[in-house]
Amino acid sequence: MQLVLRQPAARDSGDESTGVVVAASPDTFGREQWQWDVLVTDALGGFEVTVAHNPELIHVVEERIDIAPTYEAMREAEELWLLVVVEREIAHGQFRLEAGDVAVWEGEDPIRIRLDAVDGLAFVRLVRITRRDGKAARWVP
Amino acid sequence: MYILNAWYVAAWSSEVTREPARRVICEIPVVLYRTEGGEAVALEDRCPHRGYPLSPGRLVGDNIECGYHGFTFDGSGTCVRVPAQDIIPKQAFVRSFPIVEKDGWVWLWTGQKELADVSKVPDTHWMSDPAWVTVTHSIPFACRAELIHDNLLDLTHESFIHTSTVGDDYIYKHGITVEVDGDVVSADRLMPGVVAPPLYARTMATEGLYDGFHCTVFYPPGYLLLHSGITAQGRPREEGYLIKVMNGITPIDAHNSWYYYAFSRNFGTDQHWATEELITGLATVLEEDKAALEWQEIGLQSRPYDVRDSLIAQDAGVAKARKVMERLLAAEKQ
Repeated sequence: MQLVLRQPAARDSGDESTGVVVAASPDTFGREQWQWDVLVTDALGGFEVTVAHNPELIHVVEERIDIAPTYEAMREAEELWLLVVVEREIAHGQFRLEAGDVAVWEGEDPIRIRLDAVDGLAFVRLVRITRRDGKAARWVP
Repeated sequence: MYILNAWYVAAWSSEVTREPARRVICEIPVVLYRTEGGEAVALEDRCPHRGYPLSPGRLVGDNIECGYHGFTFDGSGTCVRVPAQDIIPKQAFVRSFPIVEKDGWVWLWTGQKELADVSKVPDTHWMSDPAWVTVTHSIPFACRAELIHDNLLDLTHESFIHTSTVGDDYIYKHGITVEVDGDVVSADRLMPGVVAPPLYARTMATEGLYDGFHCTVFYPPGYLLLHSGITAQGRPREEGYLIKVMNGITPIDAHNSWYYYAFSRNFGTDQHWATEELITGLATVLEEDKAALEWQEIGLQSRPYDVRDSLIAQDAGVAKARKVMERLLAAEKQ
């Protein structure tokens, strides 16, 4: 399963100065115990990503990736990947993702993900989320 | 609570005649009629005199006369005649609504007139394009409009509700890509190496395996466009047998909706038997959806307020559409 969120479509966190929550689990407040959320802020020099999570439930790995010109990796079945384009533009399959756009991948099958920098170089932030109980991480619980 | 600054399908063009027709849209009663010159008119269906609906009245030229005491209104809602006296009271006017007729549908703007932007009436050109053949239906559903949005954004229900027509287990076995761009939400599913849906297989004259696809695009609050079809394995979608399903979902009130449906295809366009078969088959599909969603409405009305849906990943389009609707509704309240 894949989600593409265009930059202006992200959910308002209620305070514009602190950015917008682009994905969270649970997706609806109060549905179940809070697990994680990802905030994106439009800052000078590109978009900034802030991940908050409940460490008892969730393990998070964050990395900045310079795509020059291609990045390819395997998303394992239990992982949820969230990618924010920090600067410039990338292509993923049929999608062109610009700075501030977000892509989320989750699901029961491992997926090989390939990202191409449209102009040869792009900067992204990749957040890899796993659950400590070994179950698959979801963005819509 | 409704999003009112929006275009909703109010009727088929063919339903707007010299006989006044009543509709209720977002709890607003509306009377629709056509002037002698053929122009469609939409007025609030309530005479300011004593609240009697105008729709049971009669047309006098381009004006509509209330059937109770004869107050008469022109197409702008201005009262032009009070039979019992010469003076027309200042408050004797009815609200008029911006409307647009396009491709067989009459779109009505329920919000502030000055915000009505004609360029935002959705694209439905397939309904009038001679290269496509269109089958239409319109059905009142005894359910809230959001349930129809959900139904169209999560097509895994086809595997269970529409088993004899468009359903197959392969639908829920494939994941979706959800895209949120501004207020527009799409849910796209590619199903490689599958057979054609039973309802279309004969018309498509196909055998063997194809790549099936469907992509629902939600233009909130009242229109969903479904791009669907099959194409040879590994080939681009535009080369295949294509279907465009235009869904105008218009709230009547909190528990009832109008479903305006147009199904356009670019294959077997000269086969009248195929069109007849689709008229019947698609009516079955809609009746199956109607029955299911009306049951769901009953279920929701008796559900405790604090119990929420248990959404799954396949509901990502549904979840995102709900958020967009919440955001639009909140923005309109400000």
